[in-house]
Amino acid sequence: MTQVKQQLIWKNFSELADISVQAGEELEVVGVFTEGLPTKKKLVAKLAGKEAKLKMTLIFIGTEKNHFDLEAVFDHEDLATVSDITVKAVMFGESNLNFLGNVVIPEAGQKSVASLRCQTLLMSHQAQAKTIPSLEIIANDVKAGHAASIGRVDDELMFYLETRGFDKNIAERLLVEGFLLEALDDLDENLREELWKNIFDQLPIK
Amino acid sequence: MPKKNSTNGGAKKPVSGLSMKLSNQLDDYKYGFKTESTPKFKIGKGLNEDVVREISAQKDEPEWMLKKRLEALKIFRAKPMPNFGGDMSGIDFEAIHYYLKPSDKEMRDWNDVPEEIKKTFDRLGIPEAERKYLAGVGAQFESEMVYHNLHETLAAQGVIFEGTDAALKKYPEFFEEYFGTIIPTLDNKFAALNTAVWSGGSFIYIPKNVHIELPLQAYFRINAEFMGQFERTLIIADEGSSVHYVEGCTAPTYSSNSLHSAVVEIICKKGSRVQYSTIQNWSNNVYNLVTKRARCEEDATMFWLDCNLGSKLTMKYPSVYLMGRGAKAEILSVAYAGKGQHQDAGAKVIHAAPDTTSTINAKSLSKDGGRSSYRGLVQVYPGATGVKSRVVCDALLLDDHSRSDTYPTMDIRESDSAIAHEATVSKISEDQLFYLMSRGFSEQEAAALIVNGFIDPIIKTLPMEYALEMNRLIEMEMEGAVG
Repeated sequence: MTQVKQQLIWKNFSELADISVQAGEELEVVGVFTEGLPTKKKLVAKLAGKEAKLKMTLIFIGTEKNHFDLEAVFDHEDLATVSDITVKAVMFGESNLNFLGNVVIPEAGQKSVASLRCQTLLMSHQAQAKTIPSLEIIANDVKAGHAASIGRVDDELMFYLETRGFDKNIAERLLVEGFLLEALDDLDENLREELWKNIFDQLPIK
Repeated sequence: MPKKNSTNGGAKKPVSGLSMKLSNQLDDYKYGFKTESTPKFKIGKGLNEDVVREISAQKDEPEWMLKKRLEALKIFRAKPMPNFGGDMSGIDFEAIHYYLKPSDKEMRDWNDVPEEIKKTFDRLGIPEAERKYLAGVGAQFESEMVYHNLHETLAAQGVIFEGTDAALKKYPEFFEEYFGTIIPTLDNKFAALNTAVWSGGSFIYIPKNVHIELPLQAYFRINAEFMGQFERTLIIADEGSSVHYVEGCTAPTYSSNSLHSAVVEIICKKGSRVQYSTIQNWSNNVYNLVTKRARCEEDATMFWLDCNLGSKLTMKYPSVYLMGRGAKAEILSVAYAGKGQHQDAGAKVIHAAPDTTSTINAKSLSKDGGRSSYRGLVQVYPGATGVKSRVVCDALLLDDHSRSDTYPTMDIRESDSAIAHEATVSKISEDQLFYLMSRGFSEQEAAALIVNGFIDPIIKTLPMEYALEMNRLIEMEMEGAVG
């Protein structure tokens, strides 16, 4: 079955919408969110046909008092569906992130592969994050995993850069860039540059 | 010839090992049958103020404990049921006996014990004296001398190890200072219930810098009710001390009571270390809703080891509050959910002080339509700098109609922290099965080996006898798991 590849770009939180990937389709979604919303957003992503594939990258840049509250459900409704979700968040100021990512694989989703990765950098004392990556698995012949981490910029990496002449701000910026660019690696160059400019403009560290 | 038990008249099934096909007993719970009862004075079913007063009177408690019980009853009635976890709709609070003296407990005839239980005892190598006790046939051990000697050794070191009922009377100062401070009555509905009707449990006090090498077990409490339904345990480890307490056993434990709601409070003072291991294998009629919490001061370590094998529904989240700098929490858990079972277990760690660390390692197995869920919380408060926490959850689904869930929450309010979580869900690796089978193991043997290897990192922290029993028990559960 030839894979039909499609791409979807969300440039802010209000553009977020439910998705459904059909049999044999491959959908790639990239969302870059730099402005929060005061209310909770709910996203339902269905892998509705055999061998449907979803690759989703969500990037949150929190500044000032922005608030991000997202509940996302990834439903593997059919055989051999694949989901690969990466969430990267960098929270400055007094921003905070509330993320619930639920991967559901019912009996119909045998042979599915699911991976949910959620990484958060807290850049200031008041920044906060609450992440709940959850799994509800009934089909047994599956590979499902998730991972989450929350922390600040690694001290050792900062030391490495500072001892090579970078000042603190630049070192921090370099590490944040590396953290975020990793999620955009697979995109084509033009798109990556366009998205990156948007992200870069929002980073309060220059 | 099967023996008929007809004292209760009416619908009694003839009991014999050969005719007892447990899987056909759709209405009965796993070890189900009726007993012959010779009623003595016994508090009736249902929960009301009279029941609570009677419990307190029978135990001859101080006035302040009675007041606390009555207040808890009010709180229990006011609080709503939890809005998460398993299905608790089957609990009928008015159909439960809230207090039974051991001598009042309905005793079974050994001949009535289902063949499957007797076989399990054989396979696990349970000593003769213990079998009757575990099967609900005997009220307490016949052989008490061994345990009496142990008692004297502990007393010489200043260690207090008593049933909670007796300890309340002998050492009221500990209770006045600590009872209900780690798990207050208002904490949740079932903590309130326990505070109102608690009976039994262990009280342990370890003096400063005393280290107890031998794991203390509930068996050692002389004349104590084994695994009461509303046990209240309080453990106080003074500065620099250490102790390992073991609760429960791997052998299937019959209970006529369908609701078990224990409360365990542990205080780990500066530099102390407490390990609390639980192995629970209640019969499949039991709702096991437990609140367990420890508070760690500076440089103290709390280690929860939680094995959940039985019960219809278990909701249990051993917690550690890290209140002093450098305190550590380690929580290991194994959950097995078989037919008709839901294990909703997990762990909670609250980091409220700097340089505290926590590790949570949870393994679960689901089979025959069972459901095992991990529900956890890692919380870091502002100002708790330098925290490191790691949570690893692995689940094995042993067939295509069982279920595994993971609901971990990370609530981090301090940027100077490093928090990581990972989880995997899968079935037994076909490569590993093939490897073993091509070396002569049957598919069943291979699966059992792999499952034992899966839970091994946690089992090996148990005292040896328990570890051996656990391995044998898992092997038995794995029979019929494949093919």
